[in-house]
Amino acid sequence: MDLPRTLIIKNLLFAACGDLIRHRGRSFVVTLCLVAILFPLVTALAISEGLRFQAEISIGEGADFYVSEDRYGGNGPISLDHQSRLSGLQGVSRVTPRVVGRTYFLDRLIAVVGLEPEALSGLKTLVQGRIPEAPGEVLLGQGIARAFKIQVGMPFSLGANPHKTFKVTGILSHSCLWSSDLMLMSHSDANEFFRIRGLSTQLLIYTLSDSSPLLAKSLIGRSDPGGSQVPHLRIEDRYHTKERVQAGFSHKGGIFIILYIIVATLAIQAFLITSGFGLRVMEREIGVMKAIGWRTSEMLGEIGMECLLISLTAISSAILLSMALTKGLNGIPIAQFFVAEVGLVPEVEIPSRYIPFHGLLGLALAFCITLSGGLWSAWRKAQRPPAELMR
Amino acid sequence: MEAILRVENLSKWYNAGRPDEVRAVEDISLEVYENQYAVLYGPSGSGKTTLLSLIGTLDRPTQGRIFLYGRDITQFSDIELSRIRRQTVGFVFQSFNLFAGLSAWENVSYPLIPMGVPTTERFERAKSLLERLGLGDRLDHSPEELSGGEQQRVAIARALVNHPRILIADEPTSNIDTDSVGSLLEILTGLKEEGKTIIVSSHDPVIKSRAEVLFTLVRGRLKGISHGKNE
Repeated sequence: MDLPRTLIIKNLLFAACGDLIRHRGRSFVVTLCLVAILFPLVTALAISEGLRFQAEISIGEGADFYVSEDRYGGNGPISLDHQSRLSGLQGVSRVTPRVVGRTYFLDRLIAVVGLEPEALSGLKTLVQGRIPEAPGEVLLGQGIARAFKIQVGMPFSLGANPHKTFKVTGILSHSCLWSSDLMLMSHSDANEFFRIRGLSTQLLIYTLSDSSPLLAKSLIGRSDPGGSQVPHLRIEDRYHTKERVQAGFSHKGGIFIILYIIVATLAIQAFLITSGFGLRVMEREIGVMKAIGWRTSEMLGEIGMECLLISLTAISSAILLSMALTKGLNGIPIAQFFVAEVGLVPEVEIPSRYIPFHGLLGLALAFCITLSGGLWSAWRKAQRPPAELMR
Repeated sequence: MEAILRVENLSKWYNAGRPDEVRAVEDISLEVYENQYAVLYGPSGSGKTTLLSLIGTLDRPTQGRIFLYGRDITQFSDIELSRIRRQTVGFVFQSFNLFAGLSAWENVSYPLIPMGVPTTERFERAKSLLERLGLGDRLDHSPEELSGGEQQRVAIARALVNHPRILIADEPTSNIDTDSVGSLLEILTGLKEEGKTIIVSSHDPVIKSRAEVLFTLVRGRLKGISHGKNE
């Protein structure tokens, strides 16, 4: 870029700053409109990204393979007989059963997870109270404990199996979304509760090193004794699960963004046009600028910079506002619109994550809105003779 | 000597062909020479401002042609007309048309912004002009803080900032007090002495008395051309 061009851009940028300050009332209202549009978008994207990130961490920290039996093309409980056979495969370090199910805790749908004692003991630092040791002892998520005012030591039973009584030994202190409505118990208790003795909903397989998973998967597949009478195994690996989670979030996020952008753009255009508060550059000023030698392209360049500056201010404000809401106020009251089963005041920590892409997306959206409002109007005016504009 | 500005059968009609058609300028032909002090004289509504707008490339004629330095500018593109306004013609508007909220020096240097002139140079050029016009102590004042006469001098400085060869001023005495008229005449005389061509529209006899060539307009038509004592 040669020097005069750089200087022209610099001059236009400073002129744009000056013009925004000169028309500060209009600039303020337009920025406010943009923030009103961008703030929910940025918040929704941040929460969505936070949820995705947590899901990915969970997957990353989980097993390498999840094995269940194929029942009519879906996942079915797997016999615990497979555990010892799979443990002996090359590259496999550990195989542990897990029961995952859902049931009602009074009127609240909760997740029930049954783990082996050694897996439960790993949660020691996350529990207020103690880890279950005896049969019938459970850990409860904070969401359930708060909702039903349950304290450590309280006994209870659930409608799905009223004969089975439980006793709370601890509350999960980590108030993340996944553990909020969770009941953790021993694998044998979960087996008993769901009446699936000798079975598990999944077998979790951990492999020795990064190079092992593919080999292990192939061996698990080959060791499948399934014949016409015995169901085949269904094997899901960590990478496949991660891909599915990412695709799910991207799909939902993409649909949301498209719909939001359409609605927001139409709404803000309608507002700016009907209120007259848009970046509708004053006719007279355009006339004067042309009369003193400005070219149309130079005027449009300056207006484009005004749009960029306004958009930058709006997206920065929207991000700061969103951060204050999600990090400081835990998403009150907006989280309920983006996270299922969360009330006006979330009882759990709402995850949120801000990434540069969201900022750029918001900036692009704001820039397009302001450009379509300001540039087109200015270009049309600039086609008329200066005398007519100043009249 | 060839005229620097030649106008041939120039007409400007507003709302042409409609019942409310206004013929602001009708079939005007005139010539202005280099370094001449020309005055378009006539009462309000005689078409002076319209004719100046056409000559100053701020508007396009309905009919006729305008030759500036021998070139027919009526067919010029928007970019070519911008170049004329930037390099050849400086225009002082009747209502000054300064940007509110900008200081005097910022107003004066505004035409230099898209030319890539650095801020320091823009300030120096504006300062030099404003000092010359007696506004050295008003550099940072916004138009709202200046009197009519001072605003007009800022407008003149803005018109001169690109060193145009022709200065056009529309009704320069209409929005200033009597004291400022004398100072204005001195400025215009000084500019003429520097070699600039001055074209002024006015219905003020004081301005008329200084004219080297006087074009009298009545109801959009040229009624007479007379040469003043200074010619």
